[in-house]
Amino acid sequence: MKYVFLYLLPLIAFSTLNAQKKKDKIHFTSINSLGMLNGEIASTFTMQSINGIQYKKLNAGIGIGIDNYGYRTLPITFYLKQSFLKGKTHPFLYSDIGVGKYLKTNDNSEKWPYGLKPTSVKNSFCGEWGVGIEKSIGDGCMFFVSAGYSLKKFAYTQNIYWLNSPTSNDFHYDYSYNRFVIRMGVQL
Amino acid sequence: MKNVQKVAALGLVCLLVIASFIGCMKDNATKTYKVYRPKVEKLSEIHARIKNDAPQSIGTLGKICLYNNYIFAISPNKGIHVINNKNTSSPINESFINLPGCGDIAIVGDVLYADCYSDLVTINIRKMPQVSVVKIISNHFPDKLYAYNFSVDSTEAIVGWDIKDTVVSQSINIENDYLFVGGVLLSSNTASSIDSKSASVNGSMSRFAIQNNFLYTVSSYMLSALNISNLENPKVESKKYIGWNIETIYPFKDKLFIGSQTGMFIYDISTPSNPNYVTGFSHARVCDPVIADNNYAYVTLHTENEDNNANNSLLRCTGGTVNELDVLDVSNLNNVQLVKQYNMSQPKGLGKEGNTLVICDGKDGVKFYDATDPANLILKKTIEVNNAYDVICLNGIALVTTKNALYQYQYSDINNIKLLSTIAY
Repeated sequence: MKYVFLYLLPLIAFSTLNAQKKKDKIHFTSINSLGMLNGEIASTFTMQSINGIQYKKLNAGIGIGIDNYGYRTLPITFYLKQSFLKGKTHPFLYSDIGVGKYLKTNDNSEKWPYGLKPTSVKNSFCGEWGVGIEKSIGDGCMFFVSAGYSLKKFAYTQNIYWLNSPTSNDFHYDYSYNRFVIRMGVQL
Repeated sequence: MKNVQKVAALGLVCLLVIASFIGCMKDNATKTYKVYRPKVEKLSEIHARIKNDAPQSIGTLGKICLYNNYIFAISPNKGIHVINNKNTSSPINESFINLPGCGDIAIVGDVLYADCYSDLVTINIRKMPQVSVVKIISNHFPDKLYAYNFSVDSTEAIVGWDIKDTVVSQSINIENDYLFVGGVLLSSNTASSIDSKSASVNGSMSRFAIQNNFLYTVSSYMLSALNISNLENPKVESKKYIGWNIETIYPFKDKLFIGSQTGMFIYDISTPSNPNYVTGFSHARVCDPVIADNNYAYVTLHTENEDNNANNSLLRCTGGTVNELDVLDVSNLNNVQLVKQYNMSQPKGLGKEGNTLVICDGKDGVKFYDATDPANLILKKTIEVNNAYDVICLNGIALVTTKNALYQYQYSDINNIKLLSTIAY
């Protein structure tokens, strides 16, 4: 629930600020989306809030979200979006790269091999690249849908002492999750 | 309006292109770990290396036993430290018996019996520090366990490991992997009991016991009775399958108390060559050293996890979450009754002499109880030592092994327990 609150907070803040700042050449923006991650092992919910600046048709900002695919992570990313064409509806390209921070949850603890907690979990690379369409819905706000490719890496180490073994052994696991992502949301 | 159509068309094309790749997108996972490749050696070559040697520093300490003012302390798989303990205040590390594959010993009449990987070795120690091998019974422990469940021919043993890093592709649903781990560690806790004169004092987690001119050994599933009326020529009289995950054997009068990961079993040895099952007491799947006296058996149940690191729960005893002392009334073997359970931290080895019960309780240290009334044990003293796991009680002296040192405490006055000596390692 706290993540939903974190997600909504910038919405509220920027909705009040945006009206006066949208006229500036550089102004603050907040891009908030809900979406689905579809991959080999699951289709899971995701959400993201990006807060940053807009200069003409270029957006840049810092994003935070929830990624429930595989091991649940909190992606913290640097986001770039370039829109094209004029008018009320236009396409855009975006790129989003950063680090997926491991979220300690009951769901995750059930997924460790052999049920053993890892001795270390590495915050690993995550990235997303895609295209979308945005449409002005008035007062400087945009509604958008997008689709793209999402990569999440995840790594951890377990230390296991086998029966009669001379020493304990580190088992290091590296995951690469390749997903198709679709999102819809608003830009304030 | 044309722009909108263009945008919509472009978006649709992009979506179709991306969607067409969905089927190609696979997750992948790799697992990196060390592979232990066994170094195998012929047992005949290993036997040739059994000999006395100069005293060596004690690295890892395993089981211990007391014999004729000597402490025989096992370095698992390496050999036996012979420590002169005539002066309990100043024990002297006198010599070392090089005995690869050793985990358990018992001594009687200056003859030492030990496991050497899957073989049982008989060694004359009358002229210590000189020792001589007098008999080897091959493949006496056919169920000898090696790491990673490796097994070898009965004429060979795994004496070491070549270690190599490896990376393998792994199923993405790695959390569903199944892992089988069986067997038990040759652990090292002790308590005290002996009827046979001139025999060593072994403990609650020993796998060897001497009683009535017989040597009894347990492996993970087998109980063997060896006639040692001719000490240097032990003869196997019987072998019995007694269940899985057997860990310890403790003799008392005409009974053998056998501890397994799932219960305690009592065997009658009034016919020494043919132990017969009498009764059992089941408990949760945990490690369980056991000792007994005339009317009561004391069983410590513990969840084993080295360094108290719960992450390593594939250690030795798996599945259990119990840490307690069970006191059982065994005066009527047809009706063994649980008298009382006492909560413990991580109890391991235990010993009893007279009305004093001594328990190694993991990180809590060594606990000395007044056991006059087993239904109402009174804790008299706790000595804080690092991971106590083994104790022998004899003649008012408790020989305690821990992760880092071997201590001797005089407890004849339980209200005034004194540290006699410390051997750090």
